[in-house]
Amino acid sequence: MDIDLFVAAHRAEWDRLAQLVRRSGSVRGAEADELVRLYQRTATHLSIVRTEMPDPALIGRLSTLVARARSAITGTHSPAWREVGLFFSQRLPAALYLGWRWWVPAGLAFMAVTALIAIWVAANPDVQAGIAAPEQIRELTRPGGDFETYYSSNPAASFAAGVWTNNAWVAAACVMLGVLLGLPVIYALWQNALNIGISGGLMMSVGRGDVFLGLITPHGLLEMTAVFVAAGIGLRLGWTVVDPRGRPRPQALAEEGRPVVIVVLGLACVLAISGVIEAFVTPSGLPTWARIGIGVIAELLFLAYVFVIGRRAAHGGETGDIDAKYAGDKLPTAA
Amino acid sequence: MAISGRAGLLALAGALVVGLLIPSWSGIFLVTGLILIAMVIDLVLAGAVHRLEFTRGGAQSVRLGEPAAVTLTVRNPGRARVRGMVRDAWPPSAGASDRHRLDIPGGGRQTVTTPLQPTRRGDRMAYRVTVRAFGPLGLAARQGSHTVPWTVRVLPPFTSRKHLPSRLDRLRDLDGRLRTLARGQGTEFDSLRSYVIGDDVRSIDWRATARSSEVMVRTWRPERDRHLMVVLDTGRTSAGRVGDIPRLDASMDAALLLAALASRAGDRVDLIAYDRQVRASVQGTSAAELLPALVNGMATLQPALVESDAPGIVAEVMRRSRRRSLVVLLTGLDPDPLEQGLLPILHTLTSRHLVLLAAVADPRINEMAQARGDAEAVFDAAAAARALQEREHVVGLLRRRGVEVVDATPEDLAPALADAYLALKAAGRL
Repeated sequence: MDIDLFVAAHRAEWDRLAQLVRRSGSVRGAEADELVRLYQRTATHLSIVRTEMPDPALIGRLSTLVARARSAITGTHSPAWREVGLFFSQRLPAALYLGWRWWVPAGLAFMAVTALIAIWVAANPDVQAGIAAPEQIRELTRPGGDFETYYSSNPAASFAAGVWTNNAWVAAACVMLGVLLGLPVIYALWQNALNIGISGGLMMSVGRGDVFLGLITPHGLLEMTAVFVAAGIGLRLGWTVVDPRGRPRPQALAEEGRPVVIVVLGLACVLAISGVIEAFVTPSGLPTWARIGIGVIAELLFLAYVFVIGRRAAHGGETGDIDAKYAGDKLPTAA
Repeated sequence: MAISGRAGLLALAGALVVGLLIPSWSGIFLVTGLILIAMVIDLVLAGAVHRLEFTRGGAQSVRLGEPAAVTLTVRNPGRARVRGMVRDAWPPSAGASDRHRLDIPGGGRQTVTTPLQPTRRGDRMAYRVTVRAFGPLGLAARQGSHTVPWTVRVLPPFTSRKHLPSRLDRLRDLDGRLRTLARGQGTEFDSLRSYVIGDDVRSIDWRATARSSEVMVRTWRPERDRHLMVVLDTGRTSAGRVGDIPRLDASMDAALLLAALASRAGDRVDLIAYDRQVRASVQGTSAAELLPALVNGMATLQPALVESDAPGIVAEVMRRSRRRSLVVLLTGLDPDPLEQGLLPILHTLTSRHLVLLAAVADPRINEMAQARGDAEAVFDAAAAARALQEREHVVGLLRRRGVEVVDATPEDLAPALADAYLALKAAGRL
């Protein structure tokens, strides 16, 4: 077949397609049908040219045209509000539930280490002396001292926003950096355990352990759970790098990494709640049992969300990953 | 070489020993050195893997969807015992469970069986055999790979053979072989016999009756010894997956049922697979050998990602069958490839042959066309209706040119094509 003849015969169709693609945002009805029709026809032309008269310039031109037409036709998205609903009702709880084998042990180990540090600090005056000067410790732990006033040092709203931004950032980093074999996650957990353990130990050493728990429990339950979830999911991501379970590592990382992003977004919401509690409930004048009660209720709601809704979603086949049609095709592998 | 989890646990225990008993650099060096020495001893004592000898046996062909087993016999010519794992690696589409335990004393042999459950048609070739032989402590292993070739040919499944008995019954009715019940239909004169009550009076042969002492009727039967040319298009449109199988595989299934039926009906069946050249050809095979020949010819066919050469297909068919045949084209009904390729030269084919075009339809499009509910479903339904309309337009174009068209979903294509063939035969159009 003569290439010039072919071009002359079909140029008008290609130009028309290019014109439709350029204003693809505003084509309606008959023009949309024409766009699809011309796209299919031009794809056939491309196939014919590739097979029968491989002319690089023409192939390049038609490839670009077909690719642009394809993105104009298939690039439109389904309504996003349904995705938001699916996110909270299916994806997030399922992703949280499927990670519980990682974050529950991580949380238990964290609490055990923290308690050990606290007891160690409280029981050894020479350790306390090694941490800070005695007057600094007194300034921190006295009634009305730095530890207590921290929660009311700023106006509640700005304090909540600040705490939330910081915590969400830490959780996101904790999850994402898990990809480095989980080592940054373990380091972050250790730093937090050290921090809480020392503060708790110092408060206990002056006999004010109840005040410490009363201040830290209302928001800390939910906040620390969020941190454990972040750490557990981050560790799971790190372990995926070590053992991709028979999948190629990039594919395994993509499959495990997409639910991780869901979890990060979800944790930002959870941490917003705990930030509000931290700013408005912790420093408030409510009696200790009421403040702790609010924290416990928030924690129980979260656990119910994960282990009731999430369990049901996970058993329904939800993995927290995006729809298979968006996830792309993958090569089969022999494990 | 490979190390085991046991070596890792040993190193962990060593770390505890160093930390609790000898927390110093010399402690670290001492414990690490001891572990390394143990591993080296283990490696030295492990059986040699590169001298192992392998022979294979077992299945050489299997129908897609059915299990097969390939055996691997390992002979250990050395003196040291070889104990560990062997992996008989196959491509993923062979569906092999490929890891086996190995324990062969010096001079001995062991046979392991690798079960296969292929998921794709075609030749599946064994990859490598990797042996990992652990030492007596189980800390470290020698590892080596061998190439032990073996090929298992995965044949088309011919799932539509379940439709064959019912179609053969229909053929028998047509054929009038149950003469006591029904008279044969068809246009080919078979024989004369005496009239019995119930025969159609229109079939009385008055000339024969005049010569004879009783009333004679003509009997008819469907034409025999007609020629069928099945053409499988292996171009790019055959590569698309409908459901989870390529269109080509659905077409093959239909071709196999048609060939089985036609060869029982006494017709001759030839097959070519063509995109820009002949990919497979089965010609002049006797009825008994036809199905095995077809199945073998089709086994290794794969869709080629090129535009099919319609003039080439037509020329090839014209070259191979000089007298009138039924040409069954198993191709796509996509408007553009057809309009650019086959339609302009179809008259060459139809001038000599009867053409039947069979195409795989996508059941998903019918589903989409029925869907209602939210805005997205309605838009999908509109798009599907549009696609169906275009398809009908093409079918109309083909019918006007005297081409019979069968457009059916993968499960229905084979029986629908067989029915179309029977209808043509009954109407005496072959």
